[in-house]
Amino acid sequence: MAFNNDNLSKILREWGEKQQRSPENNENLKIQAVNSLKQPEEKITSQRPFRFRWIVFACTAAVLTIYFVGAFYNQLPIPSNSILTTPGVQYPQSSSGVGGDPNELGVSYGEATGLGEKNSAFNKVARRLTGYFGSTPASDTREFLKTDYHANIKTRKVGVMANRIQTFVRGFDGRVDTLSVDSRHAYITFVVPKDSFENFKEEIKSLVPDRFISEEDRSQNLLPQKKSIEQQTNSVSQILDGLQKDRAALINRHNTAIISLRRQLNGIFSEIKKLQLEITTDTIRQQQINSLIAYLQSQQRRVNQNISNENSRYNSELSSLDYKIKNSESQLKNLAAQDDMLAKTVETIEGSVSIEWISLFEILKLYVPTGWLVTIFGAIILLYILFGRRKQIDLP
Amino acid sequence: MSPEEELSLAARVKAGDKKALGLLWDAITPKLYGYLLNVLRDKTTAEDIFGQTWLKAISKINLFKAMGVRFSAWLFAIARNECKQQWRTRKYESMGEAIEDEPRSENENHQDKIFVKQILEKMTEDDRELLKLRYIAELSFKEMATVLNISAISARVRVHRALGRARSIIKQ
Repeated sequence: MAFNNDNLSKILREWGEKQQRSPENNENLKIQAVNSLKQPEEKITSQRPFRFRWIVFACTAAVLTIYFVGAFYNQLPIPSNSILTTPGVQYPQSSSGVGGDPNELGVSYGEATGLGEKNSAFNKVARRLTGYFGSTPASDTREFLKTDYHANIKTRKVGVMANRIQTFVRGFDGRVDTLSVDSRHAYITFVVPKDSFENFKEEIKSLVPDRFISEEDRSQNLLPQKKSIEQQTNSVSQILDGLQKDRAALINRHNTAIISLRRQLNGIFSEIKKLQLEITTDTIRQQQINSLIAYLQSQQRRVNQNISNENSRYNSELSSLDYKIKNSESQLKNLAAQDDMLAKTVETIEGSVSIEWISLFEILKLYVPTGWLVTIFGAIILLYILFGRRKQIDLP
Repeated sequence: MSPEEELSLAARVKAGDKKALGLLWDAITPKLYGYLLNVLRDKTTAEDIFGQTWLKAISKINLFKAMGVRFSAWLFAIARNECKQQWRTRKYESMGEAIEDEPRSENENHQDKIFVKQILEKMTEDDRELLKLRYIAELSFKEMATVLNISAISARVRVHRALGRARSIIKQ
């Protein structure tokens, strides 16, 4: 017969049952035992010895650890190089101005003029002189909102998160401006188009659970700047119109003057010709003719001089007007560029994301605030003090 | 007797109910005495320790707390302690002396009895004790764990291994 656990167990079970038996003087022993049973006395409650010291020690140590480790982490210095101006990772040159195609990344943000940079003169002046532009009338309800976005992410994989965010920025036709990454911190600044900002935000939020990310949106209405640009544009346009009118009037005046002087010249020339053609034997008449011709020639010289003067004056005034017109046109161009830049600034979102490494302890604190942790451990201590259960049976 | 019945009787015994004690005695005595006889291999000593065990249990009945084990498991733990004290004081060897021949009943499979005896002789003391607690005392793994002061899982694993070693002995 082949033995296995089942029939071996069965054999042992049967064997065990066979081994069970009562002693020969079973009844006597039973009577003795039953008679020895005493009636229960009054219960004297004795103080239950506290047996679970190790639980209390463990919970006390945990509470102390929470406070001291938490205090230690709060005192950790923030690395001084957490925000750098030089990128920590090499990326292809962005299309910034000289020799580059502004539309390489799908966005042209005035990099060529430098107006797109946060520290550009435009932005610095615009931000400082916001009040200078004066208050805009309440009737003007236009909005030119410039939005700034900042997110703070806590994660245990700083480098991986930084790479993902850069991918998102570029995926949404944005541009990474600055990048700084180390094992515990990362800081990324970027711009993204306004129309894809909401989707971009959703993607950023999907990277980590809600407890690990905090976001801040700030919007500023650039209407005062817009109004200032519009007012300057109007003013310069009016000046330009005036200059162009002046130029036209100058040309007209000059032409009229030249025509008149030429007419005079022609008249003088005709007179001279007529006198020269007159043939006379009268010497007195000949002298008169000569004297008249001399006079007319002097007039002719005078008129020529006037023509010359008129031309000089005209050229001078024309140059001056042309210079002013060119300046005005240049101003209008600049103002148009500023207006364009403002529109593009409003159409883009400047943002930054700072990424911090988070310890397991801090993760625990995010889910269970310190107060709750202490409460839980305290409750455990209290429960075991009150209801400490015995593990082993007490033997007499 | 079910564990619940046993615990109920034990509670009545605590309250001084002698009839309940008698019922417990009738239910547990065969297992307890059979276990002691197999462990001590001497009828006189087994009776002594059997009596001491019951008297101790009755005198200290208030110390018994259920905690998921039966009254009989507590009794077996007391009996085991008594055996150890006995061995310490008298330096008694459990397998040293032969016990009296057991009466053979008509329906008994004598071959199986010899077979088990031969297996037990070749096993270690610990394995023998495990099998006796399991099959004579009919304790559950949890009760065995309480008696032996080990975890229930360890008790289960040890019994399984003991059976495995028994099978190996059979194959040899």
